[in-house]
Amino acid sequence: MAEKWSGAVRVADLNDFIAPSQACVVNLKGQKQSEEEQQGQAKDGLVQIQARKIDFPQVRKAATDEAIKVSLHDCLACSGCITSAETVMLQQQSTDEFVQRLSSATQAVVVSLSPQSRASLATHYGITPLQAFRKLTGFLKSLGVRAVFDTSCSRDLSLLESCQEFVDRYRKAAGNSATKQGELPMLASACPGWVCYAEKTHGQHILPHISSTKSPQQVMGTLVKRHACYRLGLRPEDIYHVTIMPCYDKKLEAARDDFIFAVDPGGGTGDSGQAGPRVTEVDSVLTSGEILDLLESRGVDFAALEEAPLDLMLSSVDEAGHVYGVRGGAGGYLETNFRHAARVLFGQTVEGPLQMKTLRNADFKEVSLEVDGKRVLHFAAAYGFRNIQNLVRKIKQGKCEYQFVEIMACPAGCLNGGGQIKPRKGQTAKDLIQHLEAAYLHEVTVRDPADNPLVQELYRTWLGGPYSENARSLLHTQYHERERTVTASISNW
Amino acid sequence: MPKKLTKPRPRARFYPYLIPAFYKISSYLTVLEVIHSEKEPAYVSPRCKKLNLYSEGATTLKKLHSGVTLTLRTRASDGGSSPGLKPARGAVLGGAQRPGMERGMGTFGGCPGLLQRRQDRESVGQRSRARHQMGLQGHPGGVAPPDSIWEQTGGEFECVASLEGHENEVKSVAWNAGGNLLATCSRDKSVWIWEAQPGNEYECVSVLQGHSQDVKMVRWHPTRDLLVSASYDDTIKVWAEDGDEDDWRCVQTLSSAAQGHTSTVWGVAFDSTGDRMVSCSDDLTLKVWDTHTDPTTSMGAGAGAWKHVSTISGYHERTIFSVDWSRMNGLIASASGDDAIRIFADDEEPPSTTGQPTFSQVAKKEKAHSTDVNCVRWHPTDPRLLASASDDMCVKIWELRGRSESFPNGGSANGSKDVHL
Repeated sequence: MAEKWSGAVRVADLNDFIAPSQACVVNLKGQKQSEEEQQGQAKDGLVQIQARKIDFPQVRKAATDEAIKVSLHDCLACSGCITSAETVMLQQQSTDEFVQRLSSATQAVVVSLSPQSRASLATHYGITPLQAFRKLTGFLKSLGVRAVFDTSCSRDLSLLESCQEFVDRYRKAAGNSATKQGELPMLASACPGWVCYAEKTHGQHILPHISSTKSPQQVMGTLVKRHACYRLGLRPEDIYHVTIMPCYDKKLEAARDDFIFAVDPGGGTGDSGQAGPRVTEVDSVLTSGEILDLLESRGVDFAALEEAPLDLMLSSVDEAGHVYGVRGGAGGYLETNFRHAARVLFGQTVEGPLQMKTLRNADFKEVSLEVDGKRVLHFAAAYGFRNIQNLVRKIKQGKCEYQFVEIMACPAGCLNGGGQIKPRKGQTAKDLIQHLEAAYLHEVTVRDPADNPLVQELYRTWLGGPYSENARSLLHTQYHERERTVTASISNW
Repeated sequence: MPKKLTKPRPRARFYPYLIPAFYKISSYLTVLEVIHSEKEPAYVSPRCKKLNLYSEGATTLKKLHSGVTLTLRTRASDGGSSPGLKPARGAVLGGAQRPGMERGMGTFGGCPGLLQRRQDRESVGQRSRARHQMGLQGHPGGVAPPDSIWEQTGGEFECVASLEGHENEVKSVAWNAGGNLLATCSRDKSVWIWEAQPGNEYECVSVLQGHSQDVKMVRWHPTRDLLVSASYDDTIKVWAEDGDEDDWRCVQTLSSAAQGHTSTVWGVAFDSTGDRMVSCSDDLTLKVWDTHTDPTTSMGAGAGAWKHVSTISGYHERTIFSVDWSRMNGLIASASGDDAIRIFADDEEPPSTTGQPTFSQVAKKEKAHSTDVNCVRWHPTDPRLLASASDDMCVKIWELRGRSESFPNGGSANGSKDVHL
């Protein structure tokens, strides 16, 4: 299981002689949890873990025989280990739970499919991404899913917010020197493995640099639970929202406290006012591989399935079946930001593909814009843990010359995410990546996110403009330095 | 082939050559490791989560006598009850009997690298020990700020770079033969490779996460860019650069399935050619590995696969913490929790039944130290000299004395004195 996490998450997992279960918060927080239960909170998604009978000073004897419940939030808040979270996560965000939810009459299940997972399924079955999308829609609807969207539209929103945020940071950094600190470089925030690692390990040195823009997954969560649900005639708490992602770390992201909001009983979605039910933006994340498992466990001949019509409400697909997207298997943050900044800040239109220069290895590239012989923009993409290390090192030493870095925990980016379908027998990982990269843009029309009519409409009718106050409150988030808890410290001895 | 005359069994004996008094000043410190630093361009002090690199000074810490230079790495001892770490550090470093070292002492005192705790012995009472040490570790005095760059001025060691990244104690460091790569390993289960850049800058080349547990030691092949790591997961892993992927990968895992160790592997050492490797373990054995036997299978960096050729067992009675293979005379020295140091030699005459080489003990020193022996290292150029480090707060330098024919390159040990504790 541990192998599935990105390297950045895994390296934070430290336990050699005290097993995770012994160091786990369960032992210490048992009391707190049961109090919460009495108040009737946090019942949802709790998983039972039988506390072991171990002779450990923190464990009160009386408690050892009781089943103590721990939620994923506890694991994330503890930071002592990630291994404990795996068990919790497996049950809380699993295909079994998904199937169970489908049979529940109380909630409508909505699924959002990432373009990387679409490419993974298409490559595995040797069909086009559009076919994969249509067949999967058909399959999921036959199980009782209410609607299936793709996350390209939410990604366009995320990209536009990120572009505007960058311009804002750039101007601040160029202006008043008092606010310069922490504005640049801006680091992409879409990779939860990277964010998790930065929070646990680098704290205030790095966190101010991370873009506050939510990832496409969480923007989708916001869209579904705070806007689209009303258009579907549902309340936020009536929807069980599942995303399909190339990445296990996305499960950690979905479980963050920052992505739980209180529904305004009046019908709006403000955080203030009387406390309505607390709703999670994304209830469950399934990986491409887990979807394959689900298909195979049901003996579905995916390639032979009929192609169902798509839900166009929130998907970047038009009536004629054209799929729109952006370049870049890791979300296109570097490219979109670069073009936008060149245009807005320097009046330059960058034609053709970006001239990326490969540095120490294929996962570390940079691109720059020169105006009148002077380098004005200098962006980089750094994928994989070793490149993250070198970049963080530079930032901490004040030697980082980039203004924007697209950071991803996985080598080769999200197409190579830990949750993707594994290579077929005889196929090398490298081969698979090449196939995925080809499939990713196969029959996809590359379009500037700002030209997406759905996005334009959302800004007009719901959000206000990009990076407006409303958009900032709905589509941006914050990061928290995670102190090592006492439990974690003890486990390190 | 005519049968060779069997050589007389070497009868080597140990003599504590010199016990420098200044190493015993402090009762708070235990010597963890000794590093013969003559040939190293710089040496490294591992510490919790961070490495400090020291440039070579005009003088190293202490010249014990001509030809032997020792660098010490110390840690707070288990028995030390004083919370005052500062005097402890000062004591060891201040031990240098020159006023000029005063400033140097300050430099070192500011570097937490000198405090290295060892908590991961799988011994009883480990918890209480750990808790005790945690109190010590919390002492904030003199801790260098992150990223502090130290430079050498005059005869002092100063920190010139700090490598951060490990999530837990850094256990071991090693330079490759070319001196351009530095490998580190940690309790966080990972092995890192850094590349030296101009201007004391270091770049992370690879983060290797193959081990499932604490990694105890890394060592480079004497000539090739081939790295081995020893771990609490009972395996030894061999790492080499991947030709086309510009990253490193594990090319071989020596586990119990391949006649490897059945408990924590604490150390590894290569012979002078790099064709053989010896490992030591908590399973009370030493194992010898050979890459010579099968040149057809290239396992990275042009080296063949490693095969188990011999197990040396039945000697040490407790965990073997350290092993070193002399590049001068081919002798293997091992150090153990049974307080003894033992020396093994390759039997010239392997039993005809297996054709595999065997090794026999040629010398032993019971009670070499009054408690666990943590580390032993042969001198790089003087085949007679061996240094050992122990929980008893002492470093001892040993001189091997035996029949001269036993140590072809060693000569007789004339003129050496027998100095007692």
